[in-house]
Amino acid sequence: MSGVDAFFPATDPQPRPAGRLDGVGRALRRARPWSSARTSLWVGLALLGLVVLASALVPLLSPYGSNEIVAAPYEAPSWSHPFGTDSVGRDLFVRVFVAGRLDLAVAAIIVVAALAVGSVLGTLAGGARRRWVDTALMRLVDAVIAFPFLVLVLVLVVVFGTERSLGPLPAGAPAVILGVILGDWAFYARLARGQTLALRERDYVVAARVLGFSQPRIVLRHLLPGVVGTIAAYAVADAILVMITVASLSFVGVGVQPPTPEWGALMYDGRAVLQDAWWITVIPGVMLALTGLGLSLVADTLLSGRAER
Amino acid sequence: MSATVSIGDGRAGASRPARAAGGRAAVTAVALHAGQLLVVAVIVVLLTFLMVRVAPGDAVDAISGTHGTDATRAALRAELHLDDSLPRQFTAYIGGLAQGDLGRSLVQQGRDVDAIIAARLPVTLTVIAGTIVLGCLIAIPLGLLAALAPWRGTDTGVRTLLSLLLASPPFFLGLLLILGPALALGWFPAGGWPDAWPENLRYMVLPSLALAGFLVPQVARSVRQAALDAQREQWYEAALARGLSSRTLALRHVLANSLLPVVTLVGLNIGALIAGAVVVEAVFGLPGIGQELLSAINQRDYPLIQGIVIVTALIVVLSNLLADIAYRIVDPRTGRG
Amino acid sequence: MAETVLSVEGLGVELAGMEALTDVSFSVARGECLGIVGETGSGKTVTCRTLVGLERRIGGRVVRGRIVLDGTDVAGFDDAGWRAVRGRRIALVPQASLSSMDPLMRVGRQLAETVRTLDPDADPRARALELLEQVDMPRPREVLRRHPHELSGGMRQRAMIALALAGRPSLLIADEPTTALDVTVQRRILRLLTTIRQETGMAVIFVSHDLSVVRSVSDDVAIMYAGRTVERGPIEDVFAAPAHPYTQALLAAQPGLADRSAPLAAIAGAPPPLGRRPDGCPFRPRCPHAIEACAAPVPQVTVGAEHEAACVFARELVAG
Repeated sequence: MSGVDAFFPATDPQPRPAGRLDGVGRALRRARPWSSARTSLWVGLALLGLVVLASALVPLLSPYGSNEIVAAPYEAPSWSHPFGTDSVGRDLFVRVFVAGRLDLAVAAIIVVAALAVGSVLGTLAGGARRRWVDTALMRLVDAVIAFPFLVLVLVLVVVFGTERSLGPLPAGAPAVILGVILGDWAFYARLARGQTLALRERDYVVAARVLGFSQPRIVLRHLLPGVVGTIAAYAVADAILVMITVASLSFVGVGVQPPTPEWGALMYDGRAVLQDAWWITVIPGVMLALTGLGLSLVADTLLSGRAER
Repeated sequence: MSATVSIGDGRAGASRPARAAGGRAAVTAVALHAGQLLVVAVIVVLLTFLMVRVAPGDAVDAISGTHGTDATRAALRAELHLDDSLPRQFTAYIGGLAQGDLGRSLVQQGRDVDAIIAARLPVTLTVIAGTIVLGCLIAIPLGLLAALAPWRGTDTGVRTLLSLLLASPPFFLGLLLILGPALALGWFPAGGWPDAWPENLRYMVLPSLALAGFLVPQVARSVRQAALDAQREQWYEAALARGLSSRTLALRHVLANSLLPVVTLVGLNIGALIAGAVVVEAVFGLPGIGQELLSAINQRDYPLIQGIVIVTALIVVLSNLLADIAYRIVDPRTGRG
Repeated sequence: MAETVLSVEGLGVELAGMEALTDVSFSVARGECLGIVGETGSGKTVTCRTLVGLERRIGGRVVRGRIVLDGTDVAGFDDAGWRAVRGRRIALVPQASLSSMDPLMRVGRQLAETVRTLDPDADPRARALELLEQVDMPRPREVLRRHPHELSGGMRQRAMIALALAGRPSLLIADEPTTALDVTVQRRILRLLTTIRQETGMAVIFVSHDLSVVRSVSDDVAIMYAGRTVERGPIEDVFAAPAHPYTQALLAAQPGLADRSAPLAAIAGAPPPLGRRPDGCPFRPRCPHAIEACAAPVPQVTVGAEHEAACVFARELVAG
């Protein structure tokens, strides 16, 4: 899904005011009380908070282990198994939220890494004194963006090998993380370059240049902070697409490997018995959609907050 | 980019040559863009080539497994030019590519990769075309409704729905569509592809809708924003002030102005739609390019993987160029004349 | 004296709960031109919007006063009521700008569409051409097929006037119609407005921040400051004997209008922002003559035929 285009305008964005990271607190204080922006921010944060909390605390909420067979297969949701059981009788409530841990962590790692790599490279391209650095980097970015996102990531994940695990990351996860970062950084680079071009003519940057500061110093100390602040808001929106991509990879079998629970993998498991045991597929999907909705509500507020100024 | 042409207040006859120059400027801009995209295309091919070469494990092992004799393995190595240096392999590949030769599949009895792709691509493109049509038919009214409906609840409701859609992976929507309209209601088949017209249409609807779940939020949001922007424009107020009703304005002026960005948006999303098609085809069992890619990946059929990746990326590059040209045709301000 | 087309009496408009117009009064007679002069933020634009019933679009609300058009108070009209007024009885020519016409639609179609709405019996295409000829558009037939961005600023403004004339209104409001244009084009548009006024007997309200431009086209003038008309009267009377300190200051700030040997006087201070306007006379903080009495509600003082000012010193100022 290179739907990141939804949030990353293809053309250089309008110059925006240089700002530090525009935190949720700032957005809240800026929003008028009871305005729709404020309400949607709260609803978004509440949704995210619920999913994060439930994922973190799931061992306290349920006595079962995530790979433990605890009941008959295909049990419909009930009091003892709120989300039902899967094809071998594992408790889906536990599996869905243990999967949530993995999905949230993987998405966070990917977004932060892609943001970091993309911002640095994009700022370098936009702030470079030599034209060819900019041209070369941006053509590379164009080429990476030209690949249908999931197609590129699929091949990269296969190339890295889905058997490998790394520390706490289960088999498949390292390849997924690396593959998605390698596809995703380019969107941030394009955005960061546009921001840099807008920022570099600003007074304080021009002043730094006149003062004779070195180019790397100007780029790192003066341009990068402003750039990162602006695109951080886009990163929240990007997290949705990253989560969808991670789930899609597992869904086509080229992602996190069984038996580790992952939302896309859980949904794939239930696919064959869709009609008889809908909960196996639908509940992880709803969880993914709700997390995405939460992110999208927060992102909308952050982005519109920036646009208003 | 846009070449604006003006006629002077009293300078009669100045317009025709100026307009021709505007047309030339547009052609130059498109040519520049095309040149840029050509460079991008070459990088795309190079990246794909490198990606497949660094894959772990010997492709020959992956393909021939334990059955291969030394002779067949050597033949395979030669077939894949694996004994040549990387630059040499690349030159050979790009030379073939220039003649439309994408190599031969390692698995499917040596069929030509381009023939395999040509057989599968139409299915994917049909679903994508269906997605664009259905998606726009859903998204444009939704976006206008959100922007123009006088009740604030409508806007909030539509926007929440769109966020929910954007956050739902296409394969999840596909599964829900199979569960509801296909299995429970029996309106549409739950999957498969008859490969005959017009039967294909019925089989296309649900996959297209599933994929549209990704396009609709973007188009609807863009239409909504453009419609809101149009209402803030000076011309909108001026038209109201001279007595045009807001309904006339909505149907003629706001609609036209909010459709303009959709052209670019759809063009820029072709890549995302192809990517989405990979999973949607898996859900509905459609014999498209995505299914072919997945089976090629499972069988480590590297020439086929390489061919599919390159062809889909080139389709994206081409559709970006087409979107640029289409936009210039639709927007009178871009100096087409 | 010709019959009055429009008279505005004590108009007050609130913008998002703050008073944007406090007390605006003026009138304009058939075939005459009233100039409205004021700085940015004096309420000129809010006044223009209110006169075509569009104040609601910016969150405005009429809280006082009357807008009497041909004997009817239109201030309380609903949307349907205003639609019968807009274009047909009061038309608006906005500031010259690239975005004053729908960028995607040809000029001819925009004209024809307006004709179809305001003048359903006319042949839209023929009438569109006729309107362009009426505003002296060069090569009108060709312009019909053009998109707005293909016209020069002056031509676009002529097209805007043509659009405003489509419903044969009895009053034309021109809101800074020439501000963004260069001087020669500006002069031609001003001449065109005067010619049309004389040919059609239409009344014109000409809004500008430029006193000299207003002087060249208007019969009467109303000076606005902080949401009030502080002085109004026949233009030559006001120029010869300004009765409000603000008018005096404006005249003194005009190059070539006041005594040429005197230095050009800038007005010290700035107009009060919305929501922080002082009681009584709003000009008080910047006025050289201000006394304690100025904090009380200011009387309208008549100083000559049709000439009045909202200042306790009006008579003394006129007497010099």
